[in-house]
Amino acid sequence: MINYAMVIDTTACIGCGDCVVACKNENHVPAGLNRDWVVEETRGEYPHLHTEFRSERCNHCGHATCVTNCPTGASQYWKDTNIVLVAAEKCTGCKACIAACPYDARLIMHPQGYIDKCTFCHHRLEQGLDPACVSTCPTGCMYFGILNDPDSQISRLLRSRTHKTLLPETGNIPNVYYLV
Amino acid sequence: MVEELLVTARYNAKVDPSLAIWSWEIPVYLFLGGLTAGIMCFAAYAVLARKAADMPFTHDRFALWAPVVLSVGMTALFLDLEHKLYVFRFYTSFEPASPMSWGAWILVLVYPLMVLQTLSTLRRGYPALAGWIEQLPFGSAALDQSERFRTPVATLVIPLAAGLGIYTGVLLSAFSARPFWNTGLLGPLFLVSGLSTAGALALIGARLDCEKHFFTRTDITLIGIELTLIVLLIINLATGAAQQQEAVHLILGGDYTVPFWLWFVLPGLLVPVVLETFELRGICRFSLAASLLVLYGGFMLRYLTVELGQVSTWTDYAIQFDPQLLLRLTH
Amino acid sequence: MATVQKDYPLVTTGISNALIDHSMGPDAFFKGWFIYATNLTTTIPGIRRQLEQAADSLELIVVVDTMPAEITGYADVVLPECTYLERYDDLRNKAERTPTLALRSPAFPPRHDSKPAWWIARELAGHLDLADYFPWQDYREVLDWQLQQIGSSLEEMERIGVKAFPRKTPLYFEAGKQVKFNTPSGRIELYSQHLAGTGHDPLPRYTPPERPPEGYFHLNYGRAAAHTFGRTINNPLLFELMPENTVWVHPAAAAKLAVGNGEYVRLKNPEGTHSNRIRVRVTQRIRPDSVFMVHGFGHTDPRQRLAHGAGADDSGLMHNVKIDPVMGGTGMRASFVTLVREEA
Repeated sequence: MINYAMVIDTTACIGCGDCVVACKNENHVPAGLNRDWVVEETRGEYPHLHTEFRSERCNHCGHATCVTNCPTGASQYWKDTNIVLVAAEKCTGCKACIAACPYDARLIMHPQGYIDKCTFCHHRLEQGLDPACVSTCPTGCMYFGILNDPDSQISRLLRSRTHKTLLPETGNIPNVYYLV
Repeated sequence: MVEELLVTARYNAKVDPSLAIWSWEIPVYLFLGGLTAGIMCFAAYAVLARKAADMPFTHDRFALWAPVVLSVGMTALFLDLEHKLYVFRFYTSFEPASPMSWGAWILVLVYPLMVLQTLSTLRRGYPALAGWIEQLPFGSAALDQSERFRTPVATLVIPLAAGLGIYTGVLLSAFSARPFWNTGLLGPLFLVSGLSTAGALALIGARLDCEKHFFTRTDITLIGIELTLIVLLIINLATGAAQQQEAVHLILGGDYTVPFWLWFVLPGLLVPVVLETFELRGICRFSLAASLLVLYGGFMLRYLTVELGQVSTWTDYAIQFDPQLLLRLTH
Repeated sequence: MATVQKDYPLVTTGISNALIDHSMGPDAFFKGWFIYATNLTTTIPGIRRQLEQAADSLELIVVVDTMPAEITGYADVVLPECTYLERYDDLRNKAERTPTLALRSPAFPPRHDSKPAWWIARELAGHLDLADYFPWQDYREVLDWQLQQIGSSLEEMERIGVKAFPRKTPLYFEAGKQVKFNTPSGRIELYSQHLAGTGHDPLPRYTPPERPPEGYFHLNYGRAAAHTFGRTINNPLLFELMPENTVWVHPAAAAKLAVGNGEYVRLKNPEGTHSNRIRVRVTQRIRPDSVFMVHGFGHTDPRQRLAHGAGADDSGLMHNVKIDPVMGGTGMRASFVTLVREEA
């Protein structure tokens, strides 16, 4: 089982949104819909403030509640990996997966009506390329690789840097890590 | 102080600014599904407890209402789908981890059983309709066989209908991402509510005083259980983790406090239970009011629950830009 | 230049305000403008009146830009340039720590009828009988010639993109070495004789900034990562990232004004000028006595279908522009605004 993961260095993210534009272009996401986005989190009171930018998308969870809750099997793991895809031809548009996702990562495709989301650009992975967002990042703060390979760049990054994931208490085991 | 906002505009339909994927169609289905379960249960009970004389409406006529009610509910369910042409996909696989898949297949079993249950007393309850069916090829045979298996069918109906009633709640409670729903009490609550609404419906249909009495007594008990379950649900959430406390606050001081208590609990549960108690004690006559209020309460329970679950959330990013501006891209 | 910028003897480059001041009226020093890649109407505060005067009296206004903006409407001639992704530009030549040359080459050919700046310049020269100064057909020839002088070639640079060169001068001064600097005394001058000689403060003298009147805030403006100044607001991909600007208000200030997050207000300066409506962002990220907004919004031309009317323009509110007496630069953060609530 190959466990893909993304590692994003929030100390180098400037919140430019290039990752958002890259994803839209690469995956032909219709206007008005987003597979990824950037969040700005500010803590504290003026003037003692800390701001963090986070590029977010589907976390391709190890225990994806969107996969378990899907009644038709449309929401599924790709091959023997943790990449969650939606088979449009199996999707009824019941939106159980949207209700099941604690990260608000899914969207309803317009005008077709099936459910869509980040795919970790699996079509690019098949060509040995990184996801579009990772490839585009101008500060080079985004990394992608295989988590269960201890020698991969991301494994080494996670060993050497303090990091977090979003809402680990949901039990979904998210696979997007943020270096803090 | 934490400010968490979307730096890049995001306004995915029905997800932003907060989850709104299910509006009226799902509450209608959940309500009618619960009602169906209750109808089938009561009709089966009347057969198994041999109440043909004391509860003629329930024994002979009530069962027919189930397929009618459920079909309206299923239509609402179909209308909710965003990818309607692929509705058949519910039935090309079974996903054991998905309560919705369980529900889809329970319905596959419920329909034929419902038809058998109806046919098993059709000659008694709807002689004209039965006569028409006897005109059809195999019509008489169908009615004969259904009557022969009236009791086994009724035995099967109870667990299956109870499953139908409970799964509507389990379906919602399985979503860990929706703090308000994520409680084991939702399934039983929906089942009891379904039975209560069916009882109220039977009160409208029944003619015999002793039959009405049965349902008045039963409904009072069921509403009592429902109120208890609601209190337990609130305690469960209020003593839970942060997200659950936030979720229950919606009805304990938050935006949904007035709708929940003033438009649901009071008119949908408390007033009817008082009216029914008065009716039982002979203080006032049987009226339509209590039944209609119970039915209204059953729907409001589903409607508010569906909305509260969607509003309660783990992730809440503030939007920074007017989403109307994004419409300029497509118009 | 000495005439136009006689008030700024120490300045060797052009000063926008001075250039504009000397372009108005029939006896103006400047007769024509070539406006390259700048939306003048919002770039320099309070300029629209002068622009209209200049537009009347200037004999020719040419606008060269990759994207249309309000300034395009003032042009007699518009020469559309293709973007940097579609053209060769001159070599990026930086001394820096490690001297490098970088090639700037197109990723794909220009779209529609847009042309690169080198083509525009060469063609114009041809029409002005100055073709002899452009003895080449394609800028690639120029780049290749330049690179040949230092032992490289266009072909090599197309392959490697960036070429590093060994330093010819040491990176640091040697410790203890006597170095002569380009000042009257030959030393680094903390007390500048140059400035004293031209009647300015030889040492910086602190002048406290003006405080806003009661109920007003310092108007601070800045940039957003999603957009390039005000020029990209109408680009669909970037508009989708950030379709409008917001005015950042500290929670204490917002409470006093009774404005909430997400509400729309208009900004008003002490002269009574109102801005377009702008969305309020209540945040700790701004001082209680100031407001902040991203520059470049509030476009007025309805042909900018996306950007038109979205957000507010900060430059129109700047009633108090401070010109730096030494360098002539424009100080644009000395203005004040208050917030006026929008009725629905």
